Amino acid sequence: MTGEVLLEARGVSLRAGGRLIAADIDLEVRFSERVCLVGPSGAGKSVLLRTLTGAMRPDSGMIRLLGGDPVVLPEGIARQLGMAFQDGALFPSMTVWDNVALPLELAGLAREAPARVPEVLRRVGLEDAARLRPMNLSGGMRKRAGLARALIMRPRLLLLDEPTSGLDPVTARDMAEVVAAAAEDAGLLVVTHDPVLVARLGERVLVLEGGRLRPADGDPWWRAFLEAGHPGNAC
Amino acid sequence: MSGVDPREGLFVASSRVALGAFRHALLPVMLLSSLLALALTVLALRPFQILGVPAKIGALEGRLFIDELMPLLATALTTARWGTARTAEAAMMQHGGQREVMRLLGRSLAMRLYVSGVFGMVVALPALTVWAIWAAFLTAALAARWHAGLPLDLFWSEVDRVAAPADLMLALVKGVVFGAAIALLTTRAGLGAAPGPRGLALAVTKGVVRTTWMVGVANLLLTWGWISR
Repeated sequence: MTGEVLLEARGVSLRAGGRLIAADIDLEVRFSERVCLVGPSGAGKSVLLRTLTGAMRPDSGMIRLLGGDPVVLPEGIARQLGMAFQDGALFPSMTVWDNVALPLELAGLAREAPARVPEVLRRVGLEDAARLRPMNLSGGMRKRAGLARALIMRPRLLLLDEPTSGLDPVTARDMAEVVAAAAEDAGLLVVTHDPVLVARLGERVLVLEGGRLRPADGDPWWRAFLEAGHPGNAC
Repeated sequence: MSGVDPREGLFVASSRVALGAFRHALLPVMLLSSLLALALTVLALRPFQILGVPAKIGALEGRLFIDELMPLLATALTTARWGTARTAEAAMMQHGGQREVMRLLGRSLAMRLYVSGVFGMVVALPALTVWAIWAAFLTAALAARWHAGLPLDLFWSEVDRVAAPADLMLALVKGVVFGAAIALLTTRAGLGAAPGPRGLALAVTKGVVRTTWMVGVANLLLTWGWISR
């Protein structure tokens, strides 16, 4: 399992909404590898992440997600992939518990929910919010509930879109620990602006800017980002 | 609208759509169909009185209510209430990430919205049409009695003379066709909405306008086919 390629993009180019998102980029995420995707706001990191999961087709290039075409998701992929969205993407008519248990239920594993849901809610600090509906949650709580849903299946590949943005520093640090622990048995690709998260997770940090994807080491934008006074200088 | 629960089976989801649409439109449909019937009866009675055949108001309203007015009234109100809510809900789920969540979980939220909407609406709208017809006739009969002293049995016998059970079948068929059109077009407008408040507003407008056009054309064809059979 170690080293197995879970997500692979080759020569991917994409324009969306009149913007260049990706220009002939290559990307690979392997099992037990942690990749952080950073870059200026509006660079298209979230759009690229959604493209990698098949929400839209790239203009050119090839993407393989867990061995298959992400647009036509292979059978059983729900058991292997966990994705957390920027604002949680919770179903408003369902409680936090039901939202988190949803992947289990749809995979026919509902009987495991009573054991797994409280455990994952405890990890993200929402054990007291299990019976609340999304409209009664703060933005940060919705985000953590979305993260809990992404973790509930113990996926082999985790794709996270800004999992700590909008959280207070203490909660953000705790969430970084949760993500780091989950990523020990999974591949991880995380889009983030959080230097603490990058410092905790970033084995490999990539900068997306102007449609180009390049390593953060020595990158001028990354250097400017660190110099801007963020507490992530450690990384 | 109480929101989509992706754990529900399609039968439960469709039933919830049907019951919700019916429950929310029950009172407005009754009130508006009654008001329309009251206005028509009072306005149209005078010429019939002058001609000395006030009972013919029942003949005029018999097929008019069943074949045309009440199916269209129920459709308009259902589009305005359920249809706009469905467009907004679909648009929010499209841009809120819920549709993508479902896709990654191996399910299609779009298919779920379409199927539950169509099955729900082809039950709810015919029921609302019958409800509107009933309320309209009751109001018209009472209005004719109070306004012109027309006996109730005379009014009903005139209605019975011009309207056959097949007319009610036409109204039910229209309810089924229009219900499916509302579900398909308003859901499609929502799923195709552009992001942001303006995108949502345009999608709701688009859903209502397209449904109105489609219902107008379908109504013309169905009525034409019925008349020329």
